[in-house]
Amino acid sequence: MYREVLLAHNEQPHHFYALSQPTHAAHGHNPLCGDEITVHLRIESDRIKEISFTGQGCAICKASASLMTLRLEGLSVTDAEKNAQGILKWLNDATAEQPDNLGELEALLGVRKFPMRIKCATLAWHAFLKALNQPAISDTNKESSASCGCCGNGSTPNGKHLNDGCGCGS
Amino acid sequence: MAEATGNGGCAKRPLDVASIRDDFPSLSHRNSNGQSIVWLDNSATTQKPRCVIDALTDFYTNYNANVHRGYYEWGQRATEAYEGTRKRLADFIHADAAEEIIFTRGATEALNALAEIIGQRYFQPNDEVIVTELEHHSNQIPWQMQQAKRGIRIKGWRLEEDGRLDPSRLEELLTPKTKLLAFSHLSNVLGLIPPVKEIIKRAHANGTLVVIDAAQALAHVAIDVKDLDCDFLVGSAHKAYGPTGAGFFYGKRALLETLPPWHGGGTMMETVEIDRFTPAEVPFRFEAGTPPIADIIGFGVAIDYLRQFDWEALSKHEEDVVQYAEERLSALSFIRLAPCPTRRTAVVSFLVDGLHPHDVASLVCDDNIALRAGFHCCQPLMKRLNYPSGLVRASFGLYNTREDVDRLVVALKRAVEIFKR
Repeated sequence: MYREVLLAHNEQPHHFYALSQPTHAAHGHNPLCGDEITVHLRIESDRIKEISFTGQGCAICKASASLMTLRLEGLSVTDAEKNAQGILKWLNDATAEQPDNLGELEALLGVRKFPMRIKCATLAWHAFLKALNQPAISDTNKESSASCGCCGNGSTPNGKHLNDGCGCGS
Repeated sequence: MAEATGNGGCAKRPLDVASIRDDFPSLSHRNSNGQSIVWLDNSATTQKPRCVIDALTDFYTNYNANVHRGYYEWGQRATEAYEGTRKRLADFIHADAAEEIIFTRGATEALNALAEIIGQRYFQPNDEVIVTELEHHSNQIPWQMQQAKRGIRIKGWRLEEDGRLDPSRLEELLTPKTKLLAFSHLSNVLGLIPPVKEIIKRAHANGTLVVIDAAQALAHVAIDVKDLDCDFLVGSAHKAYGPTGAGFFYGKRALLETLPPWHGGGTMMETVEIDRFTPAEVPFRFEAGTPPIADIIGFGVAIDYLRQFDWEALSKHEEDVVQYAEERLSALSFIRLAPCPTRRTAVVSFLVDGLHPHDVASLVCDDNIALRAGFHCCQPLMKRLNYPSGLVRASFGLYNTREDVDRLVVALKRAVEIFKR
């Protein structure tokens, strides 16, 4: 399960920071293990201009999030959504066909054999889809969204998560 | 069926771990690399000796019948075997009478039943129930549900930094409104045994009822409910080498008599009319419907299996292996043991520097080692002791050996190497 690619992405994850001006964000939490990932997006002209993530989790969770950012950045919203849905289907359903051009994501193949760990690999992808489906963060709330307490990015004025502003959903 | 071997006089089987391991067919399984299983998840569930597995097969093959009903021989045999477990269990935990043992589908169901029937009879709005931060979710949520249902208030008994339950804190929590205190005899995370008897004494001095969660303790600690003077105690078969789906609660007879039935159905009633019923006597009042007969019979066989050994020899062996695990693990620079201010019993939890607990448990799978990682159904404890991703847990049983620990150490070193690359 712990392929070299995953270990590398866990050790030095790509896009592992909060965006300063996200248009969308969503929080994914796995209460059974404590893993938490927040996906931050900047969507411009229906395209994923920037994508990043923050949070903490196991190696599989972080590596999967890192691989996700590489795969989705630059895609149109429609393509990115389709892509994420395809990956989720592939991870969750052992009979599903392998999506095209998996690239490094193929390293997650081993995880499919461990049902207990699939949710580690899917957490970030679910958070991404959740972010897409949330209303865009309005300009006035952008600052607070980047420093939401619950996403681990510093604190909001009252030290609490701003439900409507951050959009991280927790 | 084998006679229950009590404490008096019977010759005990010597504690020969190799022969014990032979009793457990599942322990001989090997992975594709030929490595035998190292079962270190005994706090979740224990492996089963052949005699327990055989008892299940024997029941279904040779005398499968419902209990307390059939006039035919199988029905009688099934009832005798089922009631035999009640006697064995009463004897095992030193209850006054078999009627003080109520069968359930497990310790979780036992705690839910107790919370509901004690709540119904004794809880008034604004009454208080104390639970500790050590507790398994199954000794928290049933009381929280009573909080919502009956307007009682849950008060948490805070753990000290070193994981200790300080009885002097209890004194601060007890008030005239404190109806009940529920706590664990053995922590499934820390391996800690609180000063159970002293705590019960202090609670009783306040007129507070005490429920002991002995799910973890049953297979590892000699339990004497009379000596402890607890009002109620719960346990589970499958954590004591018995089948899943069977458990029990003990209650002092005089208290059980005051409690209403829990589930309605067959067996729990005496007479039924179209719009009313009268409840049956203790213990049947609390046992509605067809119970898990085979599993309860298997539970009795598991108790017999345990009791054929001298308890002191058994404890000494488990202590030796647990202590060895502590020594070997603390000697590794990358391991941080969870605190336990007293001697650890059956459980050693730890963190591996730089590795998420889930990754540790997954990595040692390759060496056919079964560890548990995560919150272990103890989120308040993890929060209190600041383990946001939980802990890795190795938990031991009577068949574990020092060699199991050695293999764990090798696997942990390998796991760390893999992440170092």
